[in-house]
Parts: sequence; structure tokens; C-alpha cells
Amino acid sequence: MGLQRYVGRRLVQLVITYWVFLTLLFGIFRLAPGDPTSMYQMDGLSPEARQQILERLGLNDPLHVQYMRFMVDFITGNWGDSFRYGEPVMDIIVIKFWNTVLLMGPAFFLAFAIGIIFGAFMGWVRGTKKEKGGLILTLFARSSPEFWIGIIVLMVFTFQLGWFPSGGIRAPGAEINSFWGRYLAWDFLHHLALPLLTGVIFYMATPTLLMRSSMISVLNSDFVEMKKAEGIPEYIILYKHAARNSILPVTTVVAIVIGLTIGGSLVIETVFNWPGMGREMVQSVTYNDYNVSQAIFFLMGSVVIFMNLVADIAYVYLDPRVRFDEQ
Amino acid sequence: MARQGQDQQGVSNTDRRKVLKALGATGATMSVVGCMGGGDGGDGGDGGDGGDGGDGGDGGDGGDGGDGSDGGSGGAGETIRTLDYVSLSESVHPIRFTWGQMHAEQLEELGFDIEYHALSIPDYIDRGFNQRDHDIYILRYLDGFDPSGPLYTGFHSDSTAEGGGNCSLFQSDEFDQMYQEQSNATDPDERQQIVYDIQEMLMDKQVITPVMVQNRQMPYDTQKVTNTTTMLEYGLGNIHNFSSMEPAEGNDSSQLTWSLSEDLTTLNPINPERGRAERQINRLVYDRLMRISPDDAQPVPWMAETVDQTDETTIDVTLREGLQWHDGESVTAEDVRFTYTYGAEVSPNVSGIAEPIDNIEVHDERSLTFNLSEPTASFQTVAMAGRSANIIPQHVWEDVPDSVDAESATQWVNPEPVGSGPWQVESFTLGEELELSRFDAYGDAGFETPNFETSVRLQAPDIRTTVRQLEDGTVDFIPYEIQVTDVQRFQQNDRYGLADSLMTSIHYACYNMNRDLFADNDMGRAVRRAMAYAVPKQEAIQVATGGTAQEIQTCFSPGLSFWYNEDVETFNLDLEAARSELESAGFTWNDEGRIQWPA
Repeated sequence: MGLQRYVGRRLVQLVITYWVFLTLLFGIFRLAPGDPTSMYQMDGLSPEARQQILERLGLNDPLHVQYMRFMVDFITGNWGDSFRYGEPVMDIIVIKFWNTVLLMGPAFFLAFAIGIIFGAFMGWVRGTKKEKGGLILTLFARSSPEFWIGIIVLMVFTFQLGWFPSGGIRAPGAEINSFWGRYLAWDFLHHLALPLLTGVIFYMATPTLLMRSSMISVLNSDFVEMKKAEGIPEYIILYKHAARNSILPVTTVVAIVIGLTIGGSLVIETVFNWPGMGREMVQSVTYNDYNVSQAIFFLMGSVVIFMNLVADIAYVYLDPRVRFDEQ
Repeated sequence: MARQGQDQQGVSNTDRRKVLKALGATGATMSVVGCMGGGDGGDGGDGGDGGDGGDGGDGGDGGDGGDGSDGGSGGAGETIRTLDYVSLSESVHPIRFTWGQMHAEQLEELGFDIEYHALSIPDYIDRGFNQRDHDIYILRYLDGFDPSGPLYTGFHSDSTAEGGGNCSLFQSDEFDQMYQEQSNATDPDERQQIVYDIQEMLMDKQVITPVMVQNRQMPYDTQKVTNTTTMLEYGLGNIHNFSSMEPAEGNDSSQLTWSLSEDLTTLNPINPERGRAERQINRLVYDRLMRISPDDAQPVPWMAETVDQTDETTIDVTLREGLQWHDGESVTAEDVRFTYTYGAEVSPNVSGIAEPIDNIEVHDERSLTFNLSEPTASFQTVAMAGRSANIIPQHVWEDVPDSVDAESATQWVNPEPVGSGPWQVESFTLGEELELSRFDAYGDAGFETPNFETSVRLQAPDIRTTVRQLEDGTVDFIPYEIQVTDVQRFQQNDRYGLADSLMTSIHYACYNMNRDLFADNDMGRAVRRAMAYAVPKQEAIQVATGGTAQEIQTCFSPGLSFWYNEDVETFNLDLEAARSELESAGFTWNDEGRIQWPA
């Protein structure tokens, strides 16, 4: 079976995955107790006004009618308005999406870059005290809850040293004139530092550990001995030859860790008061703002689904030993 | 039972230990014997039936229909089924969670079997307000500066409809009539007497058991601001405070910064889907004919220079001179008429307050007359000073929603709000911040203008974050209640001031009177009164709020001192009294100390 057929089959699987995914999205939020008016019922929303709202939102229709409407609307890109904000879902999500991407993207990238280098080093110095120390640190970071790391970071850098603000994305009242004005500002970077650091510490552990174990198995192979015998400097063997051969398993977890990163963003966003998608997701679920919840879950889920597809295909490309027709 | 599975956190008896521990920690002297009753009574009956005789009926009681014959009724001598005690989860509302659990604890002690449901907010609301699937339901609710609102919401038969706030499902022609009488009584003393009588009636029956009113503590940074003004219900979030606050010595910032964890979702003042966050901004940006005075909680003329009630149904209003909209246009009497007539057509909130209005006569630019269709005692407080009484400009709204991209006027985003209040909106980024600037022309009408030039409201994900922002100097004050532990910390730190803010909403328990056990008859009355004797109010205040609350015995906040009837019957923790109430109605206890239906 050729690469084309393999990709084609994966695409068909993708369509089925999406159908199941969308159906779950629809079901999960509607099975949750309450409706979009719940959070306002104790705030003076009269029973008549509530019924009007439910009618307007079409939530009094039978579930299958709502389901059909949802599927058609969603696929045609009509994601509707937020019940809570009264604005199109897209408008609400776009800014939050960029806020999250600009925090978690660099965090993810740095975590992998540092993790790979650090992991390779630990594999190389296997059996020494350096490795043990590094391993303990890594395991410590890996098993610490994200919010706890965040709190420690806050305690040290904000409340002890006073170097960074405790949260937010820019100073209160700062003027913003354009998209780039939002992000290409010293103020933004100043606010970005701590949540970024927290993300890097937390997400670094997985690539580090993986790189280390992969490195160890590569280091046992003959060609490394050969290189040593050739008298090539150690750091060149380490990073040019051994590390390059160890990196394959790490690429496969990229997809998984990206999924974790996206999900984990909500913890970092909450601790550092970062106005991103994760926090909006929590709010919209709390308020039963179905349209916004669906859209955010859809985006987050899509990243995972898409990255898995990319990983599957990339793996075939990267490692010729993987056959298309795995029996 | 299937529905247990839906609970976020079905708290069982075992969690009671936690409360006991908390009680011990504060040194409260409550004698708590083991979970299985005081060994009192214990007479006869078929004590062996395991205690859930009534459960069979549970499946059918989804709705709030008036059949009153659901699973509550067991045969004579049968043990009363497990009762559903519906509350909020600890993370959502620790105060309600805690005192509810302490109550449930005492009810167990008394001989009831209680299942304590600690739910998420939507689940909690849906269960109590829509499904009416509760035996005992506890709330913090019934706010307002005038008695009509809370009485209607909490006790009127109209409010038993799905989604209504009468979670006791109390239906009484007698009450409805008394409600109408007080509503029509424009003489304050006469009205006070009727409201007193109503309270006596409600408290005798214990339609609800009032527990406490929170005295919220709102912190501010004394190195940043001084001359704060607090008031009933709003605390530091009141409009007067935003004008009176001044920079403290050494603070050369012209920006007043504060943060709240409640999401600000819309700037549309007539949208019915509003919470406290939106209402607070509406109060600053839009103005009202009258405002509630921070001194005595009574309405005083505000945009109006004078408000004259010339007879029971006629109110003459003259506007101040020099009132302006934020876009520079003058505020006229036509705008006022427009607000109430247009509002009544497009917004359920405004139509609610405008209901008593028969017509509005505009005499000239500044004077007008409200002609009411019947005497309405609450009109000034609710319709002229209340939360939905924001005056809106005709020249902005008359073509809404036709001229804007919105389905309806209430759904319009209102991107650049034009009000006539002391603050105007500069910019608003959802989920991040709202920036306001001082409206200098507000002073032209003789009002005090704010001392700060700009004011920024930050959006925080939770209360903890707001406290952190106060402590690292990001914000100047928090116009919201903070956790008890933080209150105690700030009390010991000179840098932070704490402003008292007694609420108007009350904490209370209500009983589902559609169920036989709590029905509006002598037996139900005895059960409700017995349960009222099982609320450890004082201990709950200590444990749940660290003492930042006041015990109450009636359905109003003591902040509404004119309406609060101090002479109603009092109910405090007294299990002996509770037992005699139950005994008098014929209830008995089995060998295990569980309560059985009267023979």
C-alpha cells in the first residue's frame, strides 16, 4: 500500500473522528444541568423573561431538531453568538486564542528545546551524580502540580523579589492600538515571563525523560563506540551523532504534549490571570454558554486531532522502517 | 437512585466530621452526640424498615405540579424517607455550604435522614428553581431596598411558576392579598404595619427559616486611597464611593484601579441577563432619577431636582438643570419618558418596573408627571432608584435594534455606551479590562465629580487573584467580599482598610411545601418549625463567616431597619423545642432514633 492510500485512509478516519467529536460536543453540554439562563435566575430574571430567552435561543425545541441545526450550522462555519456576551463566538475567541497561543506556543517550544538538550546531556552522563541530580529535578518538576509551580514562581519572583507583576497580560489602563501593539510591547513580555517560566518548567519534563532514555539506548549502539574510537570530541558525538538518532521518539510525543499544553493552559491562565481560551472555556461551561464552549472545545480538540494526524504521517516519513500496512 | 449520580459531590454523613472539627476549632459549645439521634423517644412503631419507606415515590417528582402527593407521604408509623437537602458545593459558596451542613447535622441528630447535595451553580439553580426537586433548599437571596421585591419573589403564588423564586412553593391567598395591600399602601406607617403582619404570618409558619445576613468585608489599600464611602448592599461598589475616594498621601496616580472576579459580559443596561458585575457598571455609567442614600437606604432625588408625590397615583418630577449625555446632548424629560415607554416594550426588566405606569406627561424640557394606574408604594425605590431604572438617551436608542446589528434591543452589544452618569466608558476588552474616564460635565448639574480621572476595572479569574492584586499593588480596592482568612489577615495589617457592607439579601432555608411533610397545614407547620429550631445560627456565623454576619429572625435584612420586624417569634438552636413541635404533631421515634410518620 502506498503513501497516498495510507493518507487517504487516515483522512476518512479523520472525518469519522470529527463526527463523533461534534456529536459528543453537542451532547455533553446539553446533558449538563441547567441552561444558559441558570446563572441569571437569582439575579432578577423573571420566569417570563427566562422563557423568552429560551425560546429565542431555540432551546425549547426537541433535542434532535437542535442537533440537526447544530451540525449544519457548525459545519457551515456559523458558530453563532455567545449567549452571555451577545457577540459572535468568533469575535470573542480570536483574541483569547492569540493570547493562549502566544503564551503556550513559546512555552512549548522552549520546553522541547531545553528538554531535548538537557535530556541528551543526562543520557550522556548516565550513572554519574550529575544525572541523578538532574533526574531528581526533572521528576520533581514532572510530578509537581502546575498550579503549585505557578504559586512558587509567584512567591519568589513577585512577592519576594518584586521583579514581575503577579498576573494579567498588560498593565491596567495600558493603551492598545493594534494587534501588534498588543504583543510587541515590553509590557507584554514583562507580564509573559512568569507564566512562560511555569509552562516551561512543567512541560520540559516529558521531552527530557524521553530524550534521556532514548539517548541511553542509542549510546549502547556500536556506531557510538566507533565514533569514540575515531577520536571525535565528546560533545560532537553527543549532539551531532547520538542526539540526532535519539530524537525520533521525542517527535512522536509532540502531538500528545501539545494536547496537554492546550488543556493545561487553563491552569496557568487561572494562576496568572491570563485572559486566554482556557479560562474562557471554564467560564463558558459554568454559564452554559454552549456556543462558546463548543467552539473552544472544538478548537482545542482539533489541535490534538490534527497533530496526531501530522505525527502519524511524519513518523512514516521520518522512519522508513514503519510500514504503511501495519498488520 | 439515579439522580445521585448527577451530583457533583453527594456529601454523605461522613463529611459531617469536618464540620464538627470546625466547630471544635472555634470553641463553639454545641453538644453533638453521635450521628444516631439522642436516643430520645424511640417508642414502638416498626423500627426495622431501614428508613427509606417513602423512596418509591421519588421517581415521579420531577415537576412542580401541585399534586402534593409525591414520595413524602409514608404510611402511618413508617420512617420518613431520606430527605434531599440541596446546597452549593464548598468551592462555589463556602458559607452556604457550611451552614447548610451544620443544619443538616442537627436534623440528623433530631432523627431525620438527610442526603446533603452540594452542587454546581447551574445544577443547584436548575434543581431548586426549575425542577423543584428538593425537600430543603438553602439560598442567599431576596435582595432589594424595598420590601415588595423580596416578598413577591420569595412568597407570592405567581413566583411558584417554573423559574420563579418562591422555592418554598408557598401558595396562600391570604399572603397574596396582604402583599397587594402593602403594595398599595402609600402611607409609610400603614405600610410598615402590614409588612410587619406579613412577617409574623410567614415566621409563624416558618415558610422559610431565615439564618443570617452577611456583613461583607471589602478591602482597600490605605496607601492608595482614602475617604471611602461604604453602604448597605453595595459596599465599596456604590456610586458615592467612586466620587468620594481620593488619592492617599503619596499616591500621585490619577487612575483608580480595582478588580472583580465576576465576569462583565455586557454594557447594555436593558439586557435582562445581568449579574452584579453588569449592574455595578450600569450604576456608574447611567444615571437614575433617584438614588438610594448611603445614610438610610431610602431613595433621594438625584437626576431629579424634586420628586413630589402629589396624590396616591401622581408623581411630579423636575429634572436638574445642566444634565448632559456623554455625547454632549442635553438630558430632557422626553428621554425619561422614552426610557420607560420604550424600555417597557423591549426589555422585560424595564417592563417589570414600568408596570404601574399608566402614562407619562411631559410638560417641558425638565418637568414631567408619572400617572400610575394604582397606588404603588415601592415605585420610587424600585422604578426610579432601582437596578432597572437606568435612564437611556432617546437619540441613541430610538432606532435600536433596527439600525444596529442585533436581533433585539436587549441583545445589542451597545459598544459605546452613552449614559449621563459620572463615568463614561473609554474602552472595554472582554475578559480583560474596562476603562472608564471621569465625565467632567457631570459637575454642571451640581453633582460632585470623581477625584480620579480614570478608573480601570480588571477582570480576575477568582477572588484569590483579586486579593493578590491588592497585595502586590496592582489594584487599589476590591468592591466585593473576600474570604474569611483574608479578612483576618487584613485586620492585622495597618496598610489595608476594611469596609463593612451589610447585605440586603438573606441566607435562609426553604422547605418544599408541595411535599406532604412540609405542606401548608398543622403537621407541615410543626415540621418546618422543628427544622427551624435545628439551625445553629450563632455557631454557623462563627464557623462559616468568621463572625462577619448577623443572625436574623425574619425575612429581611436588619439593614432595612424600617421594615425589619424585631418582634417575630425567634428560632435558635434548641433540639428539645424541635422535638416537642414534632411530638405535638404526632411524630414518633423508632428504636434507632429515626422519626416516623404520625399514626
